[in-house]
Amino acid sequence: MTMTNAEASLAAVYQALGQVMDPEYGTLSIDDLGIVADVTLDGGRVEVTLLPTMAGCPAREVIESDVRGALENAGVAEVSIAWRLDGSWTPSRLSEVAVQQLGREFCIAIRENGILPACPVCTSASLREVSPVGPTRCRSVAWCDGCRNVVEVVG
Amino acid sequence: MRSWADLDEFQEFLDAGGMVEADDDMPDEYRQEVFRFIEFHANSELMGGLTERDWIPHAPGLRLKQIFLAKTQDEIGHAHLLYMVAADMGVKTRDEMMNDLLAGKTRFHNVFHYRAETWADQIAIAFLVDAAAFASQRAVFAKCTYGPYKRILRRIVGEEGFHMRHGEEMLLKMASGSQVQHDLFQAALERWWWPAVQLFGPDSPSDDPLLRWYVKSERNEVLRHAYVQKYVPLLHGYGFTVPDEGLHQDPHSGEWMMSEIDWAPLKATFSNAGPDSERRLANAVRNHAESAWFRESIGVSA
Repeated sequence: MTMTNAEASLAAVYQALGQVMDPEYGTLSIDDLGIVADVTLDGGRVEVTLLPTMAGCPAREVIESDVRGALENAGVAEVSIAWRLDGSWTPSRLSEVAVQQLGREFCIAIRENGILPACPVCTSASLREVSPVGPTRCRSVAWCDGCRNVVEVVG
Repeated sequence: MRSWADLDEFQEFLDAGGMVEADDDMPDEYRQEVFRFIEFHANSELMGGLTERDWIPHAPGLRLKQIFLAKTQDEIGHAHLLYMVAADMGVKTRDEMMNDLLAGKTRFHNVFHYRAETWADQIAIAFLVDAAAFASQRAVFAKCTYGPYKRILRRIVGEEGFHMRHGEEMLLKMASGSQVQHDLFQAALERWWWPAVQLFGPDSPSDDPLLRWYVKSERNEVLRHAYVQKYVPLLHGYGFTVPDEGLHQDPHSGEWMMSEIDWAPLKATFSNAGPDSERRLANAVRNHAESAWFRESIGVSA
């Protein structure tokens, strides 16, 4: 199999971005979290568009500096980073790895179409929303009446 | 629901790596101790969050205001999760915990019994105190046999780790700034070094039940010593002086050894008799009264 130069470097850029971890959940990459919206190559210049889970996300600056560092380490000559702040991030952007790990390791469940998901701890349909926001603005807080654990819900 | 015939059988279960769940018929001694520990943690997050909130208007610049806003939400949110887990243990209701805290009947971390006098104090708190709290919480998370607590600690520890990055960044600014900035931080360091070191508590008693039941994974003095090994060289590297005249390196091991710690200031905070305890509690009482309308509007009491 042969790769054009552009394909090869696009793959390298995505590989580098796959090493940039979420600043709070150090085992999940920003790519798995669906924060990378677009990558374009223009010679030695790489333009990355990032999409925060919420426009007011306080981790934006740290993520941006980590992305810059990772790409510079990967040998990219010029990095340009833009944020898309149109609020278009949805939980459907999470990779399967992210969904699994958020549930299993962090007890964070994903809500789609407004329906509370099953409890990630005991898998019963016993979640009850307690407050619309918790420690972060992108998650609500729920209580599982089945296993009596606190669960946070994205989406 | 599982149950154990006696404390010995319960201990065997824990020794084998067992995790206790909310509906288990756990020994009352365990329930009481774990409850008290989580209540203390919850109180500390709440009191810490209220302090950070006070500094939002004073934070220099929009970016730092945004960071302090997010940190405040983190701390208050952590308290919320912790109070939920604590209340579920059936020892006290959330209302009772809140009333006891506001009446000065229960404890919260020593570091929230001191006054932050300047912006540099806030940086010292973010750099030194957050790091000490992080090390101590991480050591609880490492084992933590009470499942519902361990699950929320996973997220709390991750978020506190993120706070530390802000602390380091703010400190770097002071360390590489003007002489005035340097002096401001040095003065703050002199106020916060000992409270930060004392956050780990006095040496653990030999029969500490929290260690025996693997709620804590490490003795207080071991965590404190490791913290000193990390932070003394860091502070020296930035050109600051650690306020301990007896501080020296052991000629054989190279480890940093502190002077003997005066525990009287820590003990004063246990009975809410620290230098700023009264004002902090009054502030929390006022805050609770001022936010009553909101709790009423969403139909909760505490």
